[in-house]
Amino acid sequence: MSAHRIPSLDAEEFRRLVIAGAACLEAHADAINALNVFPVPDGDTGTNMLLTLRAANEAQLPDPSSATVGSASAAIARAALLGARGNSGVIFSQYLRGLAGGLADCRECGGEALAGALRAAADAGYRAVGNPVEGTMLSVMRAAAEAALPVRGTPADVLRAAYAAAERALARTPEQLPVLEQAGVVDAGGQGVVAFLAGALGHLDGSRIELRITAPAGGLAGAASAVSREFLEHTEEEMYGYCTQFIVQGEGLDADALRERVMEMAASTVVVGDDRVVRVHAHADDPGPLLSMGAAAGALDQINVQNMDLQHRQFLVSHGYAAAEARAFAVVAVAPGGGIERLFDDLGAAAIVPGGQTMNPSAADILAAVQRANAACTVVLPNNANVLLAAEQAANLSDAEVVVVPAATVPQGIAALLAYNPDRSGPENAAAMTKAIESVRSGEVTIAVRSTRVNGLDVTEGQAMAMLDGALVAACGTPTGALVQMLEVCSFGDEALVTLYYGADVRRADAEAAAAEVAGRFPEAEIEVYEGGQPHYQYIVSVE
Amino acid sequence: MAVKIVTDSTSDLPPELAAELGVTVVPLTVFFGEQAFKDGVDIGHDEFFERLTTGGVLPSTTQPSVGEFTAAYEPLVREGHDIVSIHISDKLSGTLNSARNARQEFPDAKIELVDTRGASIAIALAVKAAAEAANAGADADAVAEIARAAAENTAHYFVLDTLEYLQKGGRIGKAQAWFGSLLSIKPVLTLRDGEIHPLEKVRTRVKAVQRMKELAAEGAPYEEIALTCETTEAEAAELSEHLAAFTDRPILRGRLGAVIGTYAGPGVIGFALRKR
Repeated sequence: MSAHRIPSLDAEEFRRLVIAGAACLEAHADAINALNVFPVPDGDTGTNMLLTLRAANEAQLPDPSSATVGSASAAIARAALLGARGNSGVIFSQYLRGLAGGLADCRECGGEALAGALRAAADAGYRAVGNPVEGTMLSVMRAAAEAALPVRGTPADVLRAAYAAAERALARTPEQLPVLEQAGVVDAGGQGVVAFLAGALGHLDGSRIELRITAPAGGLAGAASAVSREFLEHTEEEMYGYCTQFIVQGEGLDADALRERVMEMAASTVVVGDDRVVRVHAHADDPGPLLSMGAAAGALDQINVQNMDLQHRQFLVSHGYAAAEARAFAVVAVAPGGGIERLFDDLGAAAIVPGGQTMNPSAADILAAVQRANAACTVVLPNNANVLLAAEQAANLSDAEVVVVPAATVPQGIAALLAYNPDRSGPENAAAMTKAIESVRSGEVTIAVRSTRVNGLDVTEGQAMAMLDGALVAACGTPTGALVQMLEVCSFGDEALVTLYYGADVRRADAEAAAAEVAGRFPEAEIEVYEGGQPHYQYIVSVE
Repeated sequence: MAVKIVTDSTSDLPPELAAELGVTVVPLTVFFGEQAFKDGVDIGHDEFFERLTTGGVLPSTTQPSVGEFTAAYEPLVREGHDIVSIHISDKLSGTLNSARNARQEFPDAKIELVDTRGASIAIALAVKAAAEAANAGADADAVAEIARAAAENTAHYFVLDTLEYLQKGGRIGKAQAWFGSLLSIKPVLTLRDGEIHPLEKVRTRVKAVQRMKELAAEGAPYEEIALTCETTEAEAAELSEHLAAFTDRPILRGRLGAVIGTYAGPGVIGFALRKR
């Protein structure tokens, strides 16, 4: 019987449905990233949704002999919740959780159950967002659910109606959100949902759905694809595998040769030693070949293999990160660059979540940092608008008390952390830290990775652009030029303090030159320069 | 006979007020290299801060000698007065110790010592409350109690331009953790249990003053408020007006003396807020 006539799906078929949806999303991830209204290479919707789904597909499913669609979907949703990154990833993980909730009592999933589950999924998506806005992926989810509800038929029939309605809703999103219309695109998150449904449907009825994703005016830039690919490869190494360490002892060992061979097999390689003792550390999908290679070179000692996915805390302990002594209150901060990490550390953050190449850590990454901080009450500072939801998700998934103070930029995070006082109670600190966010204005300077039109401004690929409190305010030839224009829009009083955190692409000398130019233009202000080390953004700026 | 009040120059009590209240101020000494200056006597406020910031030499200080205290107590004891001697925290200075030793020279006199556990104008507020009670006829024990209660009920908030002077002078206390932070900060501090305690870290002086105003508002109203502002007269006037809303009494304005200035540095703003 061809798939589309199957009256109901069992656990395994449900799992394959999700995999197919993910595969379609993956195939179109770059095109979806290009739909992002802001032409900056972070917070990519396509990448974030894709990574969330990859995490979902890594879920350990219950024993096939006893698995039900209910238990399988729950396991998949749980993995998605943990692996969710970026706002769109988090909302989509809640969508999957809603779906699982709707299928909780099902052994198998027929058309009607699936329709009900799509309704529950859309509801969960809406609940995930504090202020739901129409013209986003939520509208697409809702339209799909409404179309599916009256359908009497097979899961394929239900999905067919859902997908068609989703496509129509997606096409309407520019009418609902002016910023989309201006940029000439549909909503990226909504496109992601459509791609997922298309893949799932295609798996059931064998159709090869051609998604026509319209590039924004100005065309796609190659740069965006390069970034996502790099990041995907980078995270593949980090997310999966075994952290493998051992010592090789012998005579006449060749550490360099060993290192080369380990690097062929594994990632995050560290091999140090001399002709008698060599220490090996690497991350590999399979520790076996690494150990065998070591054993062939000499005698193995202090062998330590950890499954990184399952044992965050054990992994850290074996690396010598002593679990912090339990304390009453701690702050965990997400940092997009090494310099910013050092600042947060110096200001008293108990644990840092590295932002990573796209600066969007997953809920699980944040949870791991909360665990490292080992406090009765932990405040999380997301420091990026696109990490807010993942932080909330981590808070909800945590057994311990976790409060998210909604710092949406690095300057807001620094202001919040400055307001942290260990002598105060948890609630008092959370209140003071939240209030401190209002006292600072945040700016960002970056290079546009594609041409677009935002906030009434035309941006050409390769131009420097500046944002002030999230709104695009300047597009200009050089980063310094954009910086100055942004500060002009900002308008600050006497004795203002302007702080520039320069990114990984900027040399200190250039940052200081930019600061000098700013000082010349705004003599009443104090200008300070610190190394931020963040990727993508030439400058993160605070004005206070 | 009326009780007489004695204090030291770290109280930053304005000289006119000291004279008006009949309070004796025993000066500490500031050294710029070999040159010695009696605090509040031999060097003016502006001259001191000029030398502090441009002189290239970091000043040092010493507490008054026992002899200087006996010289202060002697005429008062001879006239038959009881004395209440009100001083800077003994965690910050050896002044109280000198006073204690001097008291032993007068075994038949009633000399009450009060450790305010504070510094600068917080002491001035305690001295003023004590002097008013003494001039109204209260006895030494009552006056001493009033001084102690005043000191305990006084909150003192200040913002420094830098923690450097506190650090170099060895008075940084619990604010040590904030010294040498990577990010430039303006520390809002207080005196608690006789030593410096960190309160809030902010990045600009404007914010620091804002926070201090908020802290002051939280505890309002107050019996009396004292203000020192070493930045500009305009800023001092603005603050004075702002704080006036929190008390019925006029704001007591003081300048930072040389000894306090040695440890606090230039550009300091502080308010002491006494509750009844």
